[in-house]
Amino acid sequence: MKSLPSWGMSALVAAAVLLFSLVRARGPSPDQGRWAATSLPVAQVLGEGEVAGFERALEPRPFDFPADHGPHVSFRNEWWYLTGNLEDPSGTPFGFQFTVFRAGLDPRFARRLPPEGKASEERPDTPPPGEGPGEGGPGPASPWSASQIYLAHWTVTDGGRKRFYPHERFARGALGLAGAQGTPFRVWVEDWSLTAGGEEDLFPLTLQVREGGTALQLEFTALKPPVLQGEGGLSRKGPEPGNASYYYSFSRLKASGVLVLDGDSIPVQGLAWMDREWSTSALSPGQVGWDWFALQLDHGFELMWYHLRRADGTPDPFSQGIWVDPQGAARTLAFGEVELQATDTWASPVDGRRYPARWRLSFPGEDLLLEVVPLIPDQELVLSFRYWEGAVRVSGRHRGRPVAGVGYVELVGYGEGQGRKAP
Amino acid sequence: MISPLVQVRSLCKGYQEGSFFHPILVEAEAVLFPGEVVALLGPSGSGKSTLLNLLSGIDTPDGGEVWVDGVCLTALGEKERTLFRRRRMGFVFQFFHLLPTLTVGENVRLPLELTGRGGREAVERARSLLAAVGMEGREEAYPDRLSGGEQQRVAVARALAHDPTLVLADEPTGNLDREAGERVMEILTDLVRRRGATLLVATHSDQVAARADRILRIRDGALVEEGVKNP
Amino acid sequence: MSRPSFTPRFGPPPESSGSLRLLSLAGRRFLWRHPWQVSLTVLGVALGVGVVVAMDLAMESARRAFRLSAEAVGGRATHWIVGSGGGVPDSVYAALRVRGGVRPAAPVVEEFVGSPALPGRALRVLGVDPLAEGPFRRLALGGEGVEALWRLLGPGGGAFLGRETAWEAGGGGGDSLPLAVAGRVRHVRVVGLLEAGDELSRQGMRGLVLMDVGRAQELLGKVGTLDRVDLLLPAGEEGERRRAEIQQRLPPGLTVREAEGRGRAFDGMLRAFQLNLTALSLLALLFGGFLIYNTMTFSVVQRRPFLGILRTLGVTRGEVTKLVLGEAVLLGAAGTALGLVLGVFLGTGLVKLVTRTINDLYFVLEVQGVSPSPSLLGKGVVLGVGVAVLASLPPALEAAGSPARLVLLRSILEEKAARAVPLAALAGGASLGMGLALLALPSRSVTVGFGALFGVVLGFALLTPMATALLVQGLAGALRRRAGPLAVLAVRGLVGAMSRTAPAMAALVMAVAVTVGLGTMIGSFRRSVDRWLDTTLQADLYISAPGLLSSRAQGTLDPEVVEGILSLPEVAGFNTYREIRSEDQGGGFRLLALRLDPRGEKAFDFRQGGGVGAFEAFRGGEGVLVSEPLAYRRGWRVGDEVAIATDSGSRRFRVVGVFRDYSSEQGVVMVDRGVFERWWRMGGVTSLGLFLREGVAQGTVAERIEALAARQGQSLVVRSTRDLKAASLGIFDRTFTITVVLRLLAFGVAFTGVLSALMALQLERSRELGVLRALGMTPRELWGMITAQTGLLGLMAGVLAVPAGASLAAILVQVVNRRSFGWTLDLSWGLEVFGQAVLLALVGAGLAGAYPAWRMAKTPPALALRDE
Repeated sequence: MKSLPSWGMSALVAAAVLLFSLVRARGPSPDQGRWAATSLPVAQVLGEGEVAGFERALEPRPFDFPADHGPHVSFRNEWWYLTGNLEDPSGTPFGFQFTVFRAGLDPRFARRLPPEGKASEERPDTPPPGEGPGEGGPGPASPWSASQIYLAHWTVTDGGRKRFYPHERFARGALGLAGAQGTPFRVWVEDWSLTAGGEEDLFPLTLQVREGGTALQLEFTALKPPVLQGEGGLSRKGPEPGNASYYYSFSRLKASGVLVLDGDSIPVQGLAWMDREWSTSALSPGQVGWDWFALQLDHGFELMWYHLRRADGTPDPFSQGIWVDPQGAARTLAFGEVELQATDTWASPVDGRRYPARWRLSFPGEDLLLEVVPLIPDQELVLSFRYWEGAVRVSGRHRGRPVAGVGYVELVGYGEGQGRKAP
Repeated sequence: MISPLVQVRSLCKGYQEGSFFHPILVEAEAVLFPGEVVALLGPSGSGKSTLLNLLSGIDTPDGGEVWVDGVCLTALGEKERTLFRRRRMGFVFQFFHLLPTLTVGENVRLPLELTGRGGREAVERARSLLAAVGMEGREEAYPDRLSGGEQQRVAVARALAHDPTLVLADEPTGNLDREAGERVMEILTDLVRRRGATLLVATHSDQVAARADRILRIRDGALVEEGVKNP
Repeated sequence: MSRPSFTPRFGPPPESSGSLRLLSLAGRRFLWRHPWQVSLTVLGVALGVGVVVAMDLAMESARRAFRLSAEAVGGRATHWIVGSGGGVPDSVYAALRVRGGVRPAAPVVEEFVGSPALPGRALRVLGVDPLAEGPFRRLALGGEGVEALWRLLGPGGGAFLGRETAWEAGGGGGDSLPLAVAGRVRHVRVVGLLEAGDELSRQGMRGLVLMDVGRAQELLGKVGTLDRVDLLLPAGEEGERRRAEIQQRLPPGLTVREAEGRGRAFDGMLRAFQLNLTALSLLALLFGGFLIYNTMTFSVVQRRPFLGILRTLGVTRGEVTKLVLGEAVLLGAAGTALGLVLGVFLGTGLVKLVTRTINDLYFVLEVQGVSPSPSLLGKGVVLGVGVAVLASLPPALEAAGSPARLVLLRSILEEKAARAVPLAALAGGASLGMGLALLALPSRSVTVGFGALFGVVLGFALLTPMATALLVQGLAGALRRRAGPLAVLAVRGLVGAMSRTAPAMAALVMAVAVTVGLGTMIGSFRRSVDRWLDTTLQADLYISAPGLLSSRAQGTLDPEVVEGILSLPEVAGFNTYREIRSEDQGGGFRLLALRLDPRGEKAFDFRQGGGVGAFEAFRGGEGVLVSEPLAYRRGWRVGDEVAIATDSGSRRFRVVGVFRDYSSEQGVVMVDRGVFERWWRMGGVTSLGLFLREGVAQGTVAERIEALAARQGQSLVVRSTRDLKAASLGIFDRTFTITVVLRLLAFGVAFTGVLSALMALQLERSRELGVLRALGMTPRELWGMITAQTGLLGLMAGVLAVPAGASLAAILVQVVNRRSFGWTLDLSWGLEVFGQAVLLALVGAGLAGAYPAWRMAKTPPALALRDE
């Protein structure tokens, strides 16, 4: 997901649309009906949506922090993406994912607002003045009018009890229901929020989420500075100009806080990874999905690698990655530098679609060979749209010495490109 | 010794009319043997119809017993009496009483159907009986198209259709001219005798009485034997 | 001598009745030979069943339409957050979701509007947040998935329409749909079609204009407020706890209450209306039952010799019962089949009447077509055949019970009938007494009221034979001295045929009584409303925005327009009205904020309270005026303190007057305008009443007002008192069309019954009449005698129906109506109603005699004398 900006937007829209249309599908049980209807092929979804009027990521740009942590509403899509591996005092492993997607509805905003950064000060969620609310008439504009919609996903993986808790929220950027701002930094979807520690500093960054009897409150501090992906932060996804995103990551965050599971409060701490990406982009023809890996090794190195898959099953040449050393120095990786081999598969209990479930990863340039194993097999998000995103354990050898670590893997576009099979 | 088919013992029956009790039968006694043709004589109102009603189980006596073929009718319930009558008795009435909405053939078949013998066989049987009473080919006619004599002949066929052991006839010629009456009686007695049934015919016609083996007369509520005319 | 036991030596089991084909054939042929009798019976049952089915069908279709649209737009919400008239502020919703964590919750803005493109149709504008909709509504946006949301939410987002509605409006995607909102025409872009997964949701989506909540707020002039917030709470204690929790979080004036929809609200609102219709259709069926009883009795009586022969031939009582019941089932089935067809046909017409009444009086509803459900048809079958069997049970048992005599005398039967007359009268007295006792019960139940009504009707019906007998005997006594033997013969013929005349008379009396009762009720009602309108409409001109509910104002007037109107020099004084719906646990009521001109005080006809003090208290703000139906239903009396939800929380007001009102059965509470502005958030005026200066022409002022409003872009309805009164009475008459139709149908059934009974009576006497002819009576004399007989019956029925009808009318007006709707009607006796009734009975009976008379007069006596 980090790799394909447009996917987030499209998924968001697809999800919202499906909220309406899922009722059309009548499965043998309500749940099945719902899931059956969600198999909208990603590739089809990605091709749609209004891009005209939005800014495109065409060439590298200077990044300006902390302003760039905030929203870039001149681009259609954007997200804040946190994943991490935690442990309670007894060593029980937990995983979490928290993502906020932003999608711009109205390109007219984009033109009116200054290019970047300062957008947040101008309350991007309010329509431009004088702009009538469609053809409703001369009356005042409704506070419901919004130029942005937000989707948030939050999951918790309980490695001890082998359970997975996925949650989802939608809201429009209006009436304070959801929004994003740069200084001080804050993104929120209703009562889920990610808030900066100060006016200028992103850290300590606080995550607060709850749903029913489950809640998570974490504080993050950066152990390394941000790294720019691709060419100085411009990450190309396809051969077409503008089919790219601006993309940076915090590859090592320290996380600590409290996890509440079914009413029990559990003190947790561990490592997290944060991705930031914005773009106005679409999938190139022939791309059906991707496998994304963000791995944090015990001896201070991090590896990110994504693998764009083509319809014919071959990896796309725009697959790429980054390698970060313990001091925070980063090197981007090009197609072919990392090789992936799936060694096992897992079948979703919902409809039997198969995901790879174990990998052998080799990075010959660093003499790195890793075995990647999911913390638990079932970390599939069966929400308004479907993908697999879960905590993993890694072990192997780096330059001849044994190495271990943790990470997150995202698998998108499985069981869709082949057409919609009835469950 | 031949056992009697019908036994009437101390039969009593009367009607309340206002404050008067009007006795009809008083301690009447009689016996009918199988195969007999017996005439029942008596003036109007003497109780002939009452006796027939009691013998057939249509009415119940105030006292005494009626035995038919070893069954005490007077001890039976209404429904059992009805079923007994349905199977063992045939009726010929003074006013014919054919069912107006059934054809001649259907009227004759009715007793057969009631005794569970409907179907093809019944049609055949009705045809042969109608032939026997001289009504061949009239199966499809409705009763109101027939003369009195014809109607009564159909009634005779109906009375005998289901092979009753006892045939009761209430003034069968009372509504017919002499000639037609003769014909009906001839057919009736002939058929009854041929089938070995017993016939009790209430009448005040001497001609009818002349055809009987025995004559019973009702006198002051009692049954009196008049002796055998045709031994 | 020992008794030999009864041993069935003969054949198969005694009752081999399975194949008594000839027996039933004989019965059927009998019916076949009486085609008039049979067809009238079949017709009677058909009418009875038809009316019930039609009524049910109409109500069922209306209920279904309501449920479908409620489901389509109300969705699965279990609870609503609603305001006390002023809606729910946006900020309350946002706070609930963001800080309160209340979900699922969905904002809803909703209103019925008209469209110049679809005249006469009601469109439901439904504004929702598509991102919050998921758990609630089953709406499917058509078109390419992603685009759809864009078109709804995106810049210039428009509306999705149901496919049929869009087609009817003559536009496809991209066109604009004109909507009339509070007198202004606004254009909404049609950006897509709603896809229906199945027929049900397709019907629910008819007339739906789906928009984003923000766009809907702008369109409807409701920016900043929601009409409600949908909630989905679990059932049971947990749900109750959450509900209380949410209630706690709400500012004053907002409440969480159970969601309407799924027919519950429908049934709640229309309970009285439905009950009335059901009672009327059951009455029709009752007449149908009478008819069957008549026919079967007739066929049994006429076939006594036939049945007697069968019994002598050994047919058991059970078999005779079965025979008669079988025929009844046959007749019932034939009538039912015809009735179902008739019912569906009638129902299609009735549904329009029902819908119109509902739209006039209750809420906006669109009903598309009727589709009889199997259960509904099943009910028709059970009713039709069931009533047939029930009604023929007495004659069947009577036939079976008769002794197996060969000669059955008519006189025996008549003796029995004569013995039954006092018994029936006794039962009638008891039924009457029970009905009256039910009336005396201190109950408010409409059902009990109808129970009493039926008790009284039945009582009168059962008393009829006795009354007839007494009347006839009296008449015979009087005639003996003066009239010739023919007249005596005619009268005696009636007394001698009580078994036949009694049921016919009872049916006729009932039918006429019901028409008298309903006629009087409608007349009383109309006169009451007429008088009330005269009192209530005190102003000279009434002004409102055009709305969909013809009986009440909808949408507010433009403040500038209002100001302009009030500053016209011709205006001497004015009332302003602002209507909102007030929700509470008791089902809510209309709340009317009234600025009352002193000239308008006469408009109130107080049932309780009122007076100068009342208006002082009203204007002072502590007093409210309550309409009679509401006061009746809630048991409010003058002086009571009642709690009314305001936008600033619940407040207590004193009832200072209960006024007569027929405009709403839910009820109205009037508060002073000043009070309203103090405790409620919303302003605005929904209608105006103007008092003009002396000598000013209403027409000129009306034109000036219309011109003034047109300049502001608002179209107004300006009506003079006379127009408004005519319009109101028009609604009244429309409302009662259905009652009038039912009354006619009920009478049709009863008339058929009388016709068949009297005809049977005369046809049965064929032989007797044949004898009269043979004795030298001319056909004309015969005709005269028969007509005199049936005419006499008709006259007597008409006379007897007068007290019965009057009692019925009194119960309908003073008990059933009051309990159903809570209003008092002034009982007014229309002499013409009674005159009509007697005439109707006379004509009906005369007609019934005409055919047999004609037939007998034509038949040669020899043929009549002949045995059948």
